[in-house]
Amino acid sequence: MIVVENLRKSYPDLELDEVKAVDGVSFRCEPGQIFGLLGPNGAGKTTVLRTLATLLKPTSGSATIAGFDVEAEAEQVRRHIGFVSNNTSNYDRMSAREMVEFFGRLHGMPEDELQSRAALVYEQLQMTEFLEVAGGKMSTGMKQKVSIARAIIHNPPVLIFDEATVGLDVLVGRSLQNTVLELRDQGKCILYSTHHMREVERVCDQVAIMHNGKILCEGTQEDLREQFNQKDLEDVFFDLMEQQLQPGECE
Amino acid sequence: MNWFNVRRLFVRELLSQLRDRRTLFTTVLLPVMIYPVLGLVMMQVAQFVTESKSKVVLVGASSFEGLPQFVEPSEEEDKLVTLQETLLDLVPEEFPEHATLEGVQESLQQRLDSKEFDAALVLSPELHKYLQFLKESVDGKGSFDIQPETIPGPVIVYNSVADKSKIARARIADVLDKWEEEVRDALFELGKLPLGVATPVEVQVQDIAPEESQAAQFWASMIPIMLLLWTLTGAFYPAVDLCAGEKERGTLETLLCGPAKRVEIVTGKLLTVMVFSFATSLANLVSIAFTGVFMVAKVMPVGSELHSKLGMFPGWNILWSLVVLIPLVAMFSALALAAATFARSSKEGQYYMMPLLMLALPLSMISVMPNVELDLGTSLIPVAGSALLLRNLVESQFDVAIRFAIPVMASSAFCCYLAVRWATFQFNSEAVLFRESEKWDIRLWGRQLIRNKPLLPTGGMAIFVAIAILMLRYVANATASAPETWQDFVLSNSIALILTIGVPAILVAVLLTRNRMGSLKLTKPPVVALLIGVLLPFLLHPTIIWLGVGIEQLYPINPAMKAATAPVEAMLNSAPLFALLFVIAIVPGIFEELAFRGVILTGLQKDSRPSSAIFVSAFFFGITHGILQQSLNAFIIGLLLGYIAVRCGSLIPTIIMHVLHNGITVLVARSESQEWLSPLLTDYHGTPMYSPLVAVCGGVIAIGLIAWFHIQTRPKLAAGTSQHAGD
Repeated sequence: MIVVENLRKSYPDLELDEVKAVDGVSFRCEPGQIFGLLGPNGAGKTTVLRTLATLLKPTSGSATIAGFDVEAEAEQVRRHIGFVSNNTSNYDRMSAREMVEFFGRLHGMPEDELQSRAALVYEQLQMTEFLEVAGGKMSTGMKQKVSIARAIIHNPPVLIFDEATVGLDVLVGRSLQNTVLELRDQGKCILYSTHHMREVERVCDQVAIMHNGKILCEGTQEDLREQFNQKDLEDVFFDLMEQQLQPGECE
Repeated sequence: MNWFNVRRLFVRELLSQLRDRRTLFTTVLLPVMIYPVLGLVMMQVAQFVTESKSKVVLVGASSFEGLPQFVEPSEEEDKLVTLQETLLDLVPEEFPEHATLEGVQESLQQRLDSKEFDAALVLSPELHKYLQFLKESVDGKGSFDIQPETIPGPVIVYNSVADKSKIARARIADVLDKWEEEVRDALFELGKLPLGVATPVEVQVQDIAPEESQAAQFWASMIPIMLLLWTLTGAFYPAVDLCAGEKERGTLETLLCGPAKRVEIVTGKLLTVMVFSFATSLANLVSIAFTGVFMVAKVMPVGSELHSKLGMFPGWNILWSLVVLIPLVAMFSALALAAATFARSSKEGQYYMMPLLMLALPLSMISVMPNVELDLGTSLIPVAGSALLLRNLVESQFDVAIRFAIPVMASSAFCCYLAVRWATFQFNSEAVLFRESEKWDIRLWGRQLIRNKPLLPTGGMAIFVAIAILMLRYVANATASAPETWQDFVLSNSIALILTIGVPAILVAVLLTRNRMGSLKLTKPPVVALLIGVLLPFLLHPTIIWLGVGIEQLYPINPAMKAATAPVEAMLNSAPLFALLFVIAIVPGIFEELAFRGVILTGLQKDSRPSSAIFVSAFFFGITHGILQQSLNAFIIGLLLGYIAVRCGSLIPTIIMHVLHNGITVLVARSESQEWLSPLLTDYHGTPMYSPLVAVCGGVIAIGLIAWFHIQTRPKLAAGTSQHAGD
């Protein structure tokens, strides 16, 4: 489970003195649920997710993952998440198998457990044909599968996908979305950030729309469509961008 | 730290590097190939050099009847050959009639400039006459009474800037030396004198150095430098690939969001870099040894000119150097890793290679300087100590090497520890790991500096003040003239110190921070700190004086420098006490504290741990003192002053300590005060010194007092604020 409360992250900036990349964000994501963070580029989605992955320290506010605080118990948090983003690449000089098993061993998995879990993951993601191919020679689809396999090898309860479909073709993107849905059905708590409306409509149970470091509104897809009296999420999004509503007005 | 994870990370990084052809090429293949290739080139060059002849014009080669000749007609027309040297092409010319020696020399000079020949030898008619005169004199036909004042030649005209001309000159000189001997012998024979009279005394020299060490001098200087450079290169390329390269490829973020701790990642990467750095050195060393043993002998056989210049190659002995390389490899690897972590991309990483080389190269060059030997002092200098130890090992001076191996290793290990700390700090800094390419605008930066002043100075401001002080001191010292009177000394020194040290610190505190008094640590101290400030200078003075003596033993002061400062010291003895106390105790005591324990320490404290802040501020305090011996002393005192300032958050106790310490030093140096100090003094090499017992007792009481102070206080940024809660 992910609980984020009033999370803020700011950086010093020469022109603006201070950039508020994340400005008081709060949300919850339960097991068996896909929580979508929707927003344009620069909305602050990646900063929220990097903070949850313990790569950045929050300026203020708090966040817990599976009950562990991201600041005080960073190591425990990292053991309980799988993080896939377009900034987390695979090693060019390692084969798919070496890559996945290296991370499994770093997680301290016993060798027999690692092997049986790896076999399951390879089959689930249909990776068996390119297990010995080096990262540098893989296609984009293969690379994305290895990234997911690397993130779920230790069977974490929480998964974070940050713009994971950027640069993928339609087929590979679709296959990734299917994998995410399967993982949800396995009871994982999934945080999914993107700026593609269609993806959100297809995979997310709960959606939060972010802009300028703030969550403008949050709810199920039906809730949002009803509230803005629109047919699809894309219209909701453009409505919101035009009005620049404050979170309070959204409720 | 989980060592299993470190091992996994290490194995992964190692495999990854072994699969990278570029890294393998630069770290293993290149160092192996370079020496055989150099050897082959040298062989070619050596052949080229030995085969080319020097063209020399011989003016006035008239016959010297009755005396030995050094030339004879050649088979070629219009040329002469020497009897001893076959590489001289001599073109005879007549000495122009009625010409003077100077005139001939001048015309030859012009022709030499236009490269008509490599050098010229002039045998003037006066020389001919002079030799005839000598011959007649020893033969009893003339008298020695009319001997001319100067001996007229022979004259060699050459150009010392042109290499070919220099070689020609050396060849002519060799021929003339032998000819001179023959002429002398002939004259002795003519005068019926035994030949032994010519060299009545012959000095014999006995060199007790083992044959392998006396022969290896050139190699002993060169090999350490080559090894150090390769060790650094071998560390740098993998470090850039493992840090900046991973950032660029996006795999660092993958690793950082994994379960391994940052310190495990740093250690894994450090071990990998070390393996490559060591492998490079090993490959390099084996290649040098192989090339040396098998090729040097061919290129420069015993008795050849190169052999006599460069000496015999030390042989397989040089493999001993590997032992010394281990701590050095660790230090360079950690430094390279820290620099590479800071870089955003591999390209940026390569830029940082140059500053590291600029740091390492001058230090390793110390090993080739004349008169620099491995002793306790030099062994403690990072890099230089290792280079000197390597030199001793290559020279087979194992006894010296073993004696100083431990200090060299300890100094390298300490530097390695600092570099590892730096690298780990970089890995923990999100500003470094996720540094985007920022747009820097001096106008915006200046506006922000003035508009958004921090409460207390930042680490950046601290470093800026420290560097500004160093630059200003440098300019002040370079432009200062020697004082003529004591008033001159007092005035110029006080003003220089206030302008170069006090003003930069005060300006930064006043203009760039909101809490000016807090930035300068000008706050009310606890009573316990005041007590410490008053007591410690008295208790520690004997110990500090002995410390200075110890430092001078380690690094003796250059006699020339002592002689240069003697007149100033003599002049100061005539100055009144109040003036000396003002310039030596009060002014530095106040303004050096405002800078080093004020703005610099406060700024450093904000961005780093108290211990690091104290260390760095003491380092700057030390190097501001200019002379190495004073710098070391000041560094140690700076550590104590920094510690007191950090624990009580106020500058007042350290100002008291500084003023009192310097004041006591002035007072004790005055002969009148030595009378009432006499119970505490003893004689040390003719000068009065504190007795060691006084120093030990004072030191022990001081340590007790500091321990009590430590219990009573906690680290503070400024009085009333605790560490890391400043802004």
